[in-house]
Parts: sequence; structure tokens; C-alpha cells
Amino acid sequence: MDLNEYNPPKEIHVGMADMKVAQAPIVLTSLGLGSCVGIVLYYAKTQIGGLAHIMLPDVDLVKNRTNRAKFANTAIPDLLEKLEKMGAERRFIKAKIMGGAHMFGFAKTNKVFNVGIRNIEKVKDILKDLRIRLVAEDVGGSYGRSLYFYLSTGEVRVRTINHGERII
Amino acid sequence: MLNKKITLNAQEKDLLKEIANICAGNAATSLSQLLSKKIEMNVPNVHFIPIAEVPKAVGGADTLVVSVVFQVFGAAPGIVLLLFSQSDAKTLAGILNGETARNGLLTEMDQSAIKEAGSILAAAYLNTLSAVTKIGLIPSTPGIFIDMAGALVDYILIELSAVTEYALLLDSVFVDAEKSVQGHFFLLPNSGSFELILKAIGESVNGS
Repeated sequence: MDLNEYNPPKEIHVGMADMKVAQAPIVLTSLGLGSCVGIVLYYAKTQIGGLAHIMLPDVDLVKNRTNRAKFANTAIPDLLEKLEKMGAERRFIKAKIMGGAHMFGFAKTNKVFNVGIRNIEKVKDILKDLRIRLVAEDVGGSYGRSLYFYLSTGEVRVRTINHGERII
Repeated sequence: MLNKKITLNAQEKDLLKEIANICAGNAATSLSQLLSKKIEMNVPNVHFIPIAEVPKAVGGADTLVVSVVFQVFGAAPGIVLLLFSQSDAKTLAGILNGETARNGLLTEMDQSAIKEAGSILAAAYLNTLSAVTKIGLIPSTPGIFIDMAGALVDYILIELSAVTEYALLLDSVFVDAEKSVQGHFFLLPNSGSFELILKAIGESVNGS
């Protein structure tokens, strides 16, 4: 290997209502999440992981169900299945969740209709049901986030506009 | 859900551009009156784009945008969005407040000025569109949003439960004596509204 030649790790972008799995040294990214929730699952032993960018909590509450990656209760089991097919053992898989902000509402009337919080709650319930350990989270607030999931370490860098940057 | 591709023929596109320029003209007149100085506006381009591509149209999902958002009520409900880059928003606020542009974040005054200008623009655009299509369109009070373009789009898609797949984008340029500001005006009609508006535009083409 030529040490003078630095190749930054390849980034794969995960769009809204989409999911991807990959292996180190790939970086999975998802940019500009508001009420959406990004869920990462990581299996450290073989440095594989996946990122799902869900928009809504429950597939059973809508008519159009064509995209399973759009909903928490279909995307997470699908993502888990993909990782298991790649050889990950469920009991060692760790989860991190990011996003679920409550972007300002018109006249602040729709507190009940807070999709960000509903997304977070549903995601946590599902992880519990699937017995996946949630090890870190960066959720809530009222601002957008960009995620960079480093498969070489399992760390997620969370970037925001006016609310700093952190690694979880 | 509206999944089919929106295509306009040349005539419809011309008409839409014509309407957009009349909208811009009316909006410029209102702004000029408010500020007692000459502001010109024009619309160099009109496109239909899928909503998921709105962040790309303004520079990427994690680009900082300043946006004024309105809900549209009436026979063809939907959402109106005005988007500016941070620096253009600052310049616009400078024009409106009669100060030279400063660096840094938008102050409360700046935000209030942008909201006010946004209201005038939205009203002027919607009034013109109403007059052409004969469909009543009324904007709500504005909300201002300063964050990543992607977060704005998911806010619209999720929290406002927009069922539409496409947005009508009118690139708008504001010019006063020495500065110009580029803004993006988006109309996001609900799925039924889209067909209603297109049909009305089509009838207007055939009728003239």
C-alpha cells in the first residue's frame, strides 16, 4: 500500500425512506433529518452495519405500504434480517438512534401530532421487541441533523447547523 | 398517491411562465410600495420537480436554508414555500430594513422583515394564480424556518402530511438598485389540487 496516497473512506448516501447495509471502511450517511429517525445497527466483530432512514412510525396506519423502508415497524426488522444474512449475531448487534426532532408547527397547535416523538417511541419499542440493545441516542429538539456512520468504529457523527457536532 | 410524471406541453409551460412573471410583477409592485423604492422581480425559470428533489434544487439536503412556509387554504389546498440561501436572506433583510448587509446570523428584525416580505409575495402569487385559474387560494400566516433543506422537506412531507409528490418551482430574482437576491418559490399542491390547477391552466390556454 502506498502510504502517500490517502483514500478517504467511501461514503454511501441513504436517502429518505431508504436503508443500506455495508462493511468497513464504508461510511453510511444520511443528510438533513428533521422528524425522520435514523437507526443504525452495528455488528462489531465483522464491522458490518446498516442505516435506515424512516419517516413514519407505523405501516399499519397508512394505505400506501409499498416502501417498507419508510416505516419503523417494517424497516428495522428488514434491516436486522439483512445483517443476520450477512452473518451478524443478533445478541451482539448494537443500535443507535438519531433524529426525531419536532420541527416547529403552525401556531404550535399540533403538540399531539408530534411525529418526531412518535417515531422515537415506536423505534424504541421495536428495538425492545427484537431484543436489540440501544446503546446511544441523539434525538428530539427542533433542529435538523446529518449523520455519518463509520463502519470501521461503529461511531456516528451527528452534525447540526446551530446545535454543534457530536460523536455518539 | 400521485405517482405519474407531470409533463407540460410547450404552450402550458409558456403560460405558466407568463403567469409566474405576472405574479412576480404584482409582488414587486407591492414590495416597492411598502418600501417606497423600486424593486424589480422576474422569474427566469419554471419547473416541476419531485418533492424529494427539493433539497437538491437548493444545494443539498444539509444546506442551510431560510424558508418562509405557508399553508394554502381554499379549493386547491397545499403549501407555499419561499427559500433563500443564508446570504441571500441576509441581503434581502438588508434591502427591506434599509441597512447594508452584515455578516452573521439573522436577527429577530431580519426574520420579521423576511416573513413580511414572504407574506406579500405569497399573497401576490396566489392572487394572480387564483385570477388565472379561477380557483380560490388563501395563504395562512407565515412560519419561518432556518435549518437544513432536508429537515425542511421532511417537515413538509411528514408534519404537514402533504400527499403530493411534485412541487412547482418558480425561480425568482429580486433586484433593487444595487443588489439582487435569488429566491426559490415553491408551490406544493395536494394531489387533487395539482390536477385542478393544471386543468384550469389548460382550459385557460385553450380558451384564449
